[in-house]
Formats: sequence, C-alpha cells, structure tokens
Amino acid sequence: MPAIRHASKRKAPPAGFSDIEDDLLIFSNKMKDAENATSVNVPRHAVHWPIFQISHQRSRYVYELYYEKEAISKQLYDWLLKNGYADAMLIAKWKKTGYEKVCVLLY
Amino acid sequence: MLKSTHKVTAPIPLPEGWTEHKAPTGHTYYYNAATKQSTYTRPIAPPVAPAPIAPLDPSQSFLQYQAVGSSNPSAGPNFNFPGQGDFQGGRGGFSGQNQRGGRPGGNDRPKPQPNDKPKSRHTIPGHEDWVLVHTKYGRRFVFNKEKNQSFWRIPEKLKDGILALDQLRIKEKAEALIKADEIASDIAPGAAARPGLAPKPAVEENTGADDSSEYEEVEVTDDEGEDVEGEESHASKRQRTEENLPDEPVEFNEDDIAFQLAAMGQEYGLDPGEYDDGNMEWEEGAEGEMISDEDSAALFKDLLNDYGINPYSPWEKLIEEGKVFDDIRYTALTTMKARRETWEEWSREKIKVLRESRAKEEKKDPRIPYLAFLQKNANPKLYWPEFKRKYKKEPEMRDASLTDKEREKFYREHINRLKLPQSTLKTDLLSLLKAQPTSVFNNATLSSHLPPSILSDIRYISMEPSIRDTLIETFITTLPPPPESVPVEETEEAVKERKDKERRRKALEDRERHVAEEKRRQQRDLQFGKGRLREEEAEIARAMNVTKKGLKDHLMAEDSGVKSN
Repeated sequence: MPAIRHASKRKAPPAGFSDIEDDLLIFSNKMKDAENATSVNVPRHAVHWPIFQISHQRSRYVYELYYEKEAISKQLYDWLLKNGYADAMLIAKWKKTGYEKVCVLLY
Repeated sequence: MLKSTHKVTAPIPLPEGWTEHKAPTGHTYYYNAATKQSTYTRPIAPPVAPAPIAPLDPSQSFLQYQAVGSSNPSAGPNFNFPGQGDFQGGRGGFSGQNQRGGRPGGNDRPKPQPNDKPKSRHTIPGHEDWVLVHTKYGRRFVFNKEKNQSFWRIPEKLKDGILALDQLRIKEKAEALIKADEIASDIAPGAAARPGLAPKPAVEENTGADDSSEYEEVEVTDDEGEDVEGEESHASKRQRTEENLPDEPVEFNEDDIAFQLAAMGQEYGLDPGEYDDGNMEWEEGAEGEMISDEDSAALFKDLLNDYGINPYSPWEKLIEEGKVFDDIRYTALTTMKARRETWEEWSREKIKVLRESRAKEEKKDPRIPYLAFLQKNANPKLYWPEFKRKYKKEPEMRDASLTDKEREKFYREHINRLKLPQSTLKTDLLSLLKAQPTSVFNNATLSSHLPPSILSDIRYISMEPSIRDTLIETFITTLPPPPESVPVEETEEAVKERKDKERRRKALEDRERHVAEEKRRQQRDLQFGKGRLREEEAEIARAMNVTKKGLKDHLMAEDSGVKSN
C-alpha cells in the first residue's frame, strides 16, 4: 500500500500555478458535474461526450497557455501534464500539421 | 343557408397556455409559460379528435373524369361547407370524411395520402348554384351549393359554362401578370412575379416564414352582374395551418376583401421591419470607417482592462460570464473572430506585463504575511510542533511557496528574539531602517506602506507594533526627501496614453450618434413608405367596391369619393 501523502507534505506546484488555479478549478468542477450527470435517456455512444468535451477544453487551455501565449513556465506545464490537468497525447497531436484540431483520440 | 362562411375577423385564438409577444425586432412570437417553449410560428391547438387523414384513392387522380364509381358525394370530394367544420383543420379538403365513417370498405388505408385541398373556386356562369373548385394538385370538381353535393365528374349541362370560365381565367391571368409586375417593381424591386403561376406579388417573398404568408389575389369578374369572386392563389407550398382559413372555398364579399387588404397591410408593416435590421447592421459596418481597426481593437482591450478580466482565463469563460456584452465598446469589433483575436493579443500582452511586474517584486512576498502572522500568534510558551499543530489550518501555515523548514527557522528565531531586552530590539530595528536606500525609504514613505525589504525582516516584527510604529514614524521624518528621478518621462507616456484613450472614446461616441441618427432617418422613411402603401391599398380597396349595378354606379361612387376627398 502506497504511503498516504498529506497535502502539507506534498511538493508545491511550480510558480505561476496560482494564476491558473481558479480556472482549472472551474474545469474540474465542470468535470465532476459531467461525471455525475445522469446518463438515463442518453444514447449509449453519446454518454461520454460531455466528458470528452471538457477534457478537450482543459487540454486546449493548458496548451494555449504554454504554446501560444507563453504564459506558463516549462516546469509548470510539465507539472500540469504529470498531474493530469491536460492530455499529453492529445497535445502531441495538436503539434502535428493536419491534426491541429483533433478533439478526441478514441475514434 | 349559404352565408359567408368566412369568419376571419380575428386570427385563430391561441391554444391554452400560449401568449403572444413582440420581439424587439418587431416579430411576433409565441411563448408557452408552462412548457417554456417559444416559437415564431403561431401554435395551433391540437385537434380535439385527431382526425386520420382521409385516404384518397390514388386512382382517382387519373381517373377523375371517368372512373368515379358513383356520382354520390361520398365517393369524391365532399364539400359541405356550413356547419360541418370540416375545413377548420385546413389540412386538406377531405379530412372530415373518415371521421364520419363515410367510407368503410376498400378505401380505408390509414396511411397519409397527399393532402389535396381546394385552391380556388368560381361560380359557373349560367348556373349560379354550381361552383367549380380547383384543388392544389390541379384537379377540379364541381360543387352544388343548393344540394351540398360535389362531383368529380362534371355534368353535361355545366360544360359550356366551364368552358367560358376557363377562357375568362386565361385572359385574366395574362392581365394580372402584367399588373403584378407593376406592383412588384413598385413595392419590392428585385423580386419578380413568376410566370406560369397565378401572379404572386413579390411582397410575399419578403415575409418571413413565421406568419401565414399567403397572398390573395382578388380578381374581379364582371360577369353578368355576378358578385365579386375571390381567387386565391397560394404562393407558398408550405402546409397550411389553421389560420389560413381562406383555404376554404368561401363566398367573398366586400368586407372580406377589405379584411384581406388590411391583413396584407399588416404584412407589409412587418416586412420593412425585418429588412430594417439587416440594413442597420450593414449601415454599421459601413460606418466603421470612422474608427480604424487598431482603434476598435484598442477600445476592446480597454474594455477588457476595465472589467478586470483575468488574462489567464479561457475565452469561453469570458463569453459564458457575459459581463462585457452590455458595454458599447464590445461592439467596436463587429465579428466574434476579431474579438477573439484581440482578446488573445491582449491576454498575451497582459500576461507579459504581469510577469515582469511580478519578477520585480516577488521574491520576499511569502515571508511578509508569515512574519505578520508570527508577530500576532507566536508565543514563547509553544514549541514549534505545538504551534504548527495549533495553526495548521491557517493559510499562512499552508502557503506552498514557503517550506516548513523555513517556517520553523523563522519561528525559532522570532521566539528567541522575543526573549531579548527591548533596547537591543530597538537598536536592531534602527539599524535595519538606516540600512535602507533612500530610493525606497525616504520622508515620502507612508508608515503603512513600508518597503518589502523592511517588512520581510525578522527584526521588524520583534517589537510590539504600537512602540514600533511610532518609532518608525519619527524615523521617517528625519529622512531626506526622495531623490529626483525618472517618473517625468513615465508620466509623459501616461499622458499620451490617456489622450489616445480619450480620442478613441470620442470616436466611438461619434459613431454611436451617427448610427442613431441613421436609424431615426430610416425609421422615418419607413413610416412614410408605409403610409404611402396604405393609401395605395385604400385606393385599391375603393376600386374593388363594385356593386351589382355595374360600371356606371362604380364610376359615380368613385367620383363622389374623389370629391369628398
């Protein structure tokens, strides 16, 4: 069993995280809502769409902050990827020509 | 018995729960408070007993002249106008039949058949109680008003009357086509009447899809002193809704015509309003020349600055919040794409500025609140672990930018210093103050806004705040004034900036005023046009007032009308 890491002992996120913390929190709240939303009467293939949508939006947000606006540092970007705030595989696609607007890697 | 069944004095009342409203653009729309639905199309009450559409024997369409098994009305189109309410549905002339169970055998294929419906009707000259009815699909049948019977097969005795009628109609069509062309060029240039169909004035094309767009061409047949007849040519192929009562083959009298004209007038009244909006937008775009692109972008950036938008937030958040929509500066840029681009540019700049300013001041930031917290709460009686446990929920203790080790170090040092004598603490504080350069610490400094280099020093918090503050204040008065330096240039820049801003604001105001003026002018034009149209229609209405006494009477009436005018 892995050791439980207490919040106060955890390593602090890199500098600049506090700037985007609120917006990431909004995204995570949206994600929670989407996860808990009822899937009754939703077609089977469409159940995950809202979740994909939010995950895409959040990845896009992080991607734009780092690659387009250069608003966050490399450390913070890496930290965000490591902690699951953005999908690294998706962002890898966006960097390729012809794949700039890929929305989901599943299909 | 055969009074006018045309009872269109008011539009069909709305079904329960629906209310009618006017949109700011002038459209009427309908809202159902219960279901929270809104629609532009007028809602129709669901039929009380949903009538299955009467199946129509498809063979009839080819065989209409020979194959009708019986000349009995139930075999064919059955027109019993008054009192039956068959046509209230308006969905087709035959809908009433099966409801009454008229055709039990052979013909009860339940599935929908093409909805044929009466399109126009003409009294057959020479046989006044017979009416020739044309349907939507181009078929025709005769209907006896006296006996309330209709036949696909046309009786021999009516043949020559119908022939005469056909000739008349062809002639009229040709005339009306010319007339319609004139009207079209008069009212709505650019839309032409289509040849081949019954003339459709172009106005029709302008009415949106919302209301019963239907144009009634009223033709006068001055045949043997007959009554005026209306021929309705349905311009739209859309499905009729209930309100389109003129679907029924009805007797038209002067009142009806007057009503139709009034309705047409209303339609005209609607149209230009719709047009107007389009024009307005176009106008605005044209006006855009007054403000250059950079200016409008700068205006938009000002807006973003003023509303304190977080440059790190995503664009969607800005749009979802919608705080900025009310500001007129939001309209400085006309497209969403431009806005987004400007926002991107702005956030990039803003983030750069923020980072620079933060780089200047940062470093000591986390220590200052922690030290203030220590001064308030630190107690020589508590060891560090106890203190930590006691205040572990406080934000100063959880601040990630300061490690626990550092906190502990500060705490121990502070506790040790509290045990020192007051005089040592005082000399330490004074030495700290003296060590500050005059550029950050001089006699203009406020005691509430000390430089961070002082605030983040452990010596600063060692003394009681009341004693320390008076000490610092007196020390500040002894300090030299701030050295003269660069701010002059900065202010110049600021002034320039302010002027720029002012200029842009003025330009925007000018534009707004211009647009408002333009709007007013258009409104006036519109009113004028409507008035003229109304006059013309009134004139037409007067011309239509032909009574049984013939042309002479008509002319006399017109003369008197002119005189009275």
